[in-house]
Amino acid sequence: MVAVLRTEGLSKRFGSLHAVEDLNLQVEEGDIYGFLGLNGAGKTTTMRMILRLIRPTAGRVSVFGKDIREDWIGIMSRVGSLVELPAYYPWLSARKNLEILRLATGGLPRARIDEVLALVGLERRMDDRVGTYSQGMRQRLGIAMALLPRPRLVFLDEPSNGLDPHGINHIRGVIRDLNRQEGTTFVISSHLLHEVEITANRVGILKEGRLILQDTMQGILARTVSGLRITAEPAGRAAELLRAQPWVRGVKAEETGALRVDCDPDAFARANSLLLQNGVTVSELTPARRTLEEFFLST
Amino acid sequence: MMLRTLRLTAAESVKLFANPVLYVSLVLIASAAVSGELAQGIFGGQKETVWRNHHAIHLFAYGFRFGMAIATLVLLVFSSMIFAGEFDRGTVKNLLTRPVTRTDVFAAKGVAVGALAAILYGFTLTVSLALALGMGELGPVWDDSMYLMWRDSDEILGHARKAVLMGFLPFLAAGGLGILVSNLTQSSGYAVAGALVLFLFGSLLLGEHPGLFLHHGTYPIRQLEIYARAGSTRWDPRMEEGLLFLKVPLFYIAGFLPAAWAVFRSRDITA
Repeated sequence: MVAVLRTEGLSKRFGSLHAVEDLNLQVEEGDIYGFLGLNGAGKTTTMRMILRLIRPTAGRVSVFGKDIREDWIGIMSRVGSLVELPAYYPWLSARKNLEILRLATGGLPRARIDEVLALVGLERRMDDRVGTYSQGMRQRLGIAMALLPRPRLVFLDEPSNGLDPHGINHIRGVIRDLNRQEGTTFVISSHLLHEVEITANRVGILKEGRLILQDTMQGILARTVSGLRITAEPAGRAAELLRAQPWVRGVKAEETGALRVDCDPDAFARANSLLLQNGVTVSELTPARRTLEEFFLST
Repeated sequence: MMLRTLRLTAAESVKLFANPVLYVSLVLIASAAVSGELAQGIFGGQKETVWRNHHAIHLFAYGFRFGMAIATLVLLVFSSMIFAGEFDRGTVKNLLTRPVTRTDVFAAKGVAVGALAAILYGFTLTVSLALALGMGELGPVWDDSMYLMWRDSDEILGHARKAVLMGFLPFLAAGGLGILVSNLTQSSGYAVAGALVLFLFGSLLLGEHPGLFLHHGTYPIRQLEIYARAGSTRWDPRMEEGLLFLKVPLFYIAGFLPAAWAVFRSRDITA
């Protein structure tokens, strides 16, 4: 796979505050990269450095295999972005706002404006002043601005902000379609972990300016497995038997009556044969997963 | 770079011409120019400078002076918002994340302010001149009691042409001041207030000295007004002979724009 985006030792200091420190990101072509972190973790600062809105204190950024300082114009003709809140001229319509960006980008036909506004579901209000839009519509406009130049790489900072469930679903569909059909790579920062879980295929977790984990979503989900979940009859006998095993660290009964067994995730067969040999009927035995949110908060 | 700057300038013009504030400003400028001329026509009384009516250039000088006073404030407001407004709204990040450099964006905005200055100047000139020609007469300036010709027609027209040409660069320099202030803050409110305060402060403190303050744009017009009613005052000869009307505003523009560019290039965009 080709690295579409790579940062090496990227750092930013604001006075004595280390906003981002020694960041080594790698996003491959065709990825939907979920960029996670608490508020103030440095996600937006990182995006701003990649897009040269702020100057890094140290480190380098390469996009499409080239240093951004060497071929900025060439790189940015294939990059779209929505950083933090969508920004617009409130006295102009969505169409005029995009016309300004079409002129700034160059080489785009006028028809692309209507196309991208239809893509985000703004076609019926495209000639209304943006100042009259709801927050969700402004967010859709921000996403349209990012998608205007038919980018190969798109940065979306909290794309679900202000969108209702229908809007979130719609935009999620747009991202997936562009990724699958046109191979567009997305870097999405979000605090909606569920959103990232169902959209992204790779994830980077930023904490206090440092990248503490970068892996595929599968790899991350494998780390969320924290034992077994067993529904057995009689449950009390099953809990007693399991507690007596040296490979079991603990057993908790859930409200549903199922048992949550804290052990290594590969103990399926051992647990199953133990219970069956002792006359316990097992009706369900699955890996117990922490949610991505629980995992994220524990990192 | 030229093509990118042209594209960005076109984008600036989309913003400018769709801005209702521009049209309100034009109405204000026209009102000031018309009021100046009408007031002079109504309250100024019959002058002894022409046979039957007011001299058109005399009226024009009034209208143009009043109109330019408002036009200068309008130019200061627009130029001081040209960057600060983008910082304020966050739209600067939309521009800077396109395939353009900061220098392209700066150049396009500089060209846009220059074009706006030309539009405002041309508009004020057109309105003032049209009304003056409608209300007054061209021709020589007479003293009707002694039947002496104080100024011949060519002389006064030549003087007016010079005054109009001399007024533009100082007016443009006010736009340069606006661009500089616009880059010193991320708030358009502070930028407008800062530019107006600096301009008015400079105007009050140094405005009477043609070699010091950038804006003696209305100075030759003021002198024209006196000249057109046969007053003897001409402008300070250094304005013309020493090319102060060129040197002073160019000196300010040459100071303002590179400083603004340096600030814009090095600024972290956190909007």
